[in-house]
Amino acid sequence: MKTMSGVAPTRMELLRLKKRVALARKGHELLKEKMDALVMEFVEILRKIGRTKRRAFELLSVAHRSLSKCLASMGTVETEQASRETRKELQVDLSTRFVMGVSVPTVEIKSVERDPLGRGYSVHTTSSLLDEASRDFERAFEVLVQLAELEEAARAVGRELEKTKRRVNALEYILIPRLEETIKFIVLRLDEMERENFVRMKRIKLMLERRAEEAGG
Amino acid sequence: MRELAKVLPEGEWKMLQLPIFIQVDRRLGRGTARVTGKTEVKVVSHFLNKRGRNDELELIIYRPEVAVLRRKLPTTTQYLFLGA
Repeated sequence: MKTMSGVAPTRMELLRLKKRVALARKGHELLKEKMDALVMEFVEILRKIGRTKRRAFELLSVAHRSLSKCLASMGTVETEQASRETRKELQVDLSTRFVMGVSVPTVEIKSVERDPLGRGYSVHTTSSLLDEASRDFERAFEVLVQLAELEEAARAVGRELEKTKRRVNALEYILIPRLEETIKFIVLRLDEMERENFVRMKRIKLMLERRAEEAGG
Repeated sequence: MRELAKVLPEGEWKMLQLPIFIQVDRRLGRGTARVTGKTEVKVVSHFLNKRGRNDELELIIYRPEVAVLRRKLPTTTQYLFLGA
């Protein structure tokens, strides 16, 4: 006879397992819905990343063109000297927002674009081309920060998606089939026990009848 | 928020409960969601270009519409999973 270790083939156990399967199925459906929603969020973030990346490339190419002009006009040494004099601190506000229960970082910058006097280098010894190049890089930087934020969001949502997919698969291919297999085993075992009981009762009845016949005859 | 303010007359601003819940109910079937509340339905109908649904208390939307809604209102909508 087929045996399953650790399972008591009783009606109570059968009811308990049936409840567990129903709960697992409900959880599986909900997780699948969550997975669908996460996929939608993920695709949307990827779309935004694509757009932001294109914009960043455009701005960076403009900025590099401006820098080339500046290098040609001012010279490499002077430009590098001005870049060393530039104030490098930037104030950002870091916070988190939730996308489908996933914590995603949010970076807010007050203003990246500064006026020439606020940049820190001397405006008397530098060309206006340096101001233009700085302004273009500052604009590009703002978009790069947005891109970093989006990429981190994609990573976080992707991780959650992977986790949810693993849970869905575990329920679909391991837990639910295993519970169903156990239910099948208990049902078979209970049927067998019922048949054994029926045969036993018949034999007892037969023995009792024989005893009655012997006593009468 | 500015977009939402444009959709509703000023008198209805206080009636709108935010975030708008996109209720994902397993009884509705996969990929189907529900939005409830008169003002909320009005707002969602506007963003999804659904005409003639302004007085309804409940609106059923489908996966592509959910994606559009989330794209248009990313911070003022929230998923709500119902398993009962």
